[in-house]
Amino acid sequence: MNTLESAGPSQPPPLPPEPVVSVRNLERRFDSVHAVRGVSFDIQRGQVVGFIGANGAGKTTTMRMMATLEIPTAGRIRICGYDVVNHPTEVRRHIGWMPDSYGTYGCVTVHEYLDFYARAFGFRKQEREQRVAEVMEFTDLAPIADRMMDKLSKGMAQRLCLGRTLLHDPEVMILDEPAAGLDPKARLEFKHLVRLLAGEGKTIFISSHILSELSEMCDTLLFIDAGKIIHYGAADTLLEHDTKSAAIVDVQVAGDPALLADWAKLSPGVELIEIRKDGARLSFDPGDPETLSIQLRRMLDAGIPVVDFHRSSRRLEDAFVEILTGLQS
Amino acid sequence: MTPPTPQPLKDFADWISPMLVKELRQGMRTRVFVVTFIALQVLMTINVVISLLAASGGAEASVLAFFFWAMIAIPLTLVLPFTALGALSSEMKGDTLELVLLTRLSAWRIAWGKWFAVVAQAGLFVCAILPYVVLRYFMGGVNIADDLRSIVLLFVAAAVLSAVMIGISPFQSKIARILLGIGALFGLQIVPGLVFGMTAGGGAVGMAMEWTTWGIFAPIYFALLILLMLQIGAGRIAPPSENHSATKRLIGLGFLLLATVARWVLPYSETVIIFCLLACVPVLTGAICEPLQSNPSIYRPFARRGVIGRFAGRLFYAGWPAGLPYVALLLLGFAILMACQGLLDDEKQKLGMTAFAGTFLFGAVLLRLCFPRTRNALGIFIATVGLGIFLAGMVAVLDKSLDWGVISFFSVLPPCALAFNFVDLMNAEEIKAARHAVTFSSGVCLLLALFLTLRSWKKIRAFEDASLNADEMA
Repeated sequence: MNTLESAGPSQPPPLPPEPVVSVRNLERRFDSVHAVRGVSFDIQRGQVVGFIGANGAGKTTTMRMMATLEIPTAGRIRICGYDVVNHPTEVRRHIGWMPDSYGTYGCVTVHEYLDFYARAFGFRKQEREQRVAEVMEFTDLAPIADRMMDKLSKGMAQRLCLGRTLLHDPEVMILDEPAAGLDPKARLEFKHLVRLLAGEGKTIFISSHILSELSEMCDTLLFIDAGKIIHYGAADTLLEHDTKSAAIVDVQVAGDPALLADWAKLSPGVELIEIRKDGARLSFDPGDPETLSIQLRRMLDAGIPVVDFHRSSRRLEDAFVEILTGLQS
Repeated sequence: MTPPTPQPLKDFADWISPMLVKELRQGMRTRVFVVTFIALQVLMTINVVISLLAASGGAEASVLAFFFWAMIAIPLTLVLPFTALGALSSEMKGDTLELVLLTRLSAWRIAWGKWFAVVAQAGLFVCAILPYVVLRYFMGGVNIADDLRSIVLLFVAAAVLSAVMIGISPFQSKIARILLGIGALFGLQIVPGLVFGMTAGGGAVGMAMEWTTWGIFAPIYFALLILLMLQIGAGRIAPPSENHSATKRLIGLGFLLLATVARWVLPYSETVIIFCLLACVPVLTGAICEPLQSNPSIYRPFARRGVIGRFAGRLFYAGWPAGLPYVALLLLGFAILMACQGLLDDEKQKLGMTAFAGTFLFGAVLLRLCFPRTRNALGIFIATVGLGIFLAGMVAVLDKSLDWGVISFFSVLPPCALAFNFVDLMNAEEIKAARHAVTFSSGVCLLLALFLTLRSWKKIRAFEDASLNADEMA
């Protein structure tokens, strides 16, 4: 049989898997404000996609439309095969929505809060208890199960909200600025939880202003500006160095960095980006290894008291600004 | 982890709405409930002790009885219903409503759960005072059957008032909620007296409606009223995909049906008809103020059922284009019923009904022609009626003091005519002239309303087709 197959005409290549989220030509207007303009993208099952944009760029509006909380003015969103406008109830069963701001109930404990949502999602007695226990264990909420909701710290409340999002085991998780306002420890814990969820194969669509965090959590990044998608691609490629573009080098000197700054100003192909108390950040253009080597040699030959220098890794913020600048120019 | 699987309901708590469970847990820990409950117990104990002392001293028992009933009535008809006034707005302001709506709980189940929690708390209050009622009986001079009936009536009043407050509670403005709540509280006390006065020749006669009439009419009426108010609350918090207008309009038809049955079955049915018509005011107001909806979920259930479904949709789709024909139909139904009952025999009654119907048609036309894109149609409608009544008051005062004779002229405006009819300032000639004026203006408004409706049917047809296409694609 294998022989026959290999001897016969070549098989057509397998069709790409149907995206779990498909957004096409999405538009949203609020009176005179055109919040989302023709946004289109696909998310495959198991992908962790970071959604990046400045305030007012259209992130939350797009996410709210995906969560069936806003009706698009035009365009279409399908999640797990269901249209968010035509079949919102089915979509809601497949998504977990975590908004950027959410309220707490007074006089309700952590366990009662999760129990209420488990009931609301349709879980019955034993299954409900089991599910609540699983979620509390996953989000490490068990030690504070009897604590009143309004007595929780921001980090605990965020974990509780994530726990609520997980109760019905959604296929797609839409998290709007989940790490906003968290202290560094809570942020690390939250990042850890997202990684665990990604490991379980959940499709996660997450927005944040803290771009460096997104680069660590997400395998794909989606940039939005003024309601339009300006970049959609893998996080790694965005962070990779383009050898033809300028190289950014952090230089540390002994004593006053003014000498280094003066040298940078006088040297062709070298640009001072930022002066620091113990050195400066310089841009060398072009940034290919041969030219960079020559320029660094010249810097040493010029008598600059260099203590240390190293090529700076490209940050996500730089990539975002670069894309924006490119668009504007 | 796996999605929830349907399982038989074994646990009692699983039978109860999740919202009710949460609200009861939450509500019974609130300071308002705890303080009121303890205060009630303390005051009741004091009342009983004083009653015992007063009985031996021969003091006036009626004063103590008044305090006894006041202590029961205040928590049941004031404290608890007013806690419901913020029930839905607190969820909206606290950013918790959307999260709940993303679960399997519909807006209706949320409103229902909130209301039922307040009623359950009222039930707890009632249970807590029963021992004191029995004590009063043992002290003598009390008919326990009358006491129990009064407590049941207070409990029903608490349930109805709580439903009204839940209906009002989604309004974002706290001042608007409080004003509407106080208005509803006073309205529910004043309107029955007015209706009895209008129909039975006087409050005392009207109140003497036989218990059989009350026994049959009141439970159905209050049940419909509670359903209506909860639907109004649910409709205001519901996502655009849910059609609550159809249910509200069906309840409106339910009131018409109740009035029709009462016309042939019950004595004192004039009163019943007027009560039913007044209960439809929120339905009529909602029908003319709702914006046109484009969500396929609104149209699909009707459009799927072919010509009959689409025809029914023309009356039950959310939005004013279906609301206007519904308003015309419901008012026509009540007008025919009132005519059959002899409630439109004289000019004054005809003026009243025409002005009542004209007020809605006038408001609807004004909204569509002058404020087609407004998001606060209800506010504009209430302001229009309020301005009309204010104008009528000014005109009436000036007319009577300066003898201008312009009342019938201003009756062209239906809200003014409605107000003139209530204050009873016109003589027979003026009433006749006013009726002609308001009939003319209401007729014009009806024609304009029908024209506007027919013009919007093209859009509705497109929405119907789109909803079916979307269904086929899915």
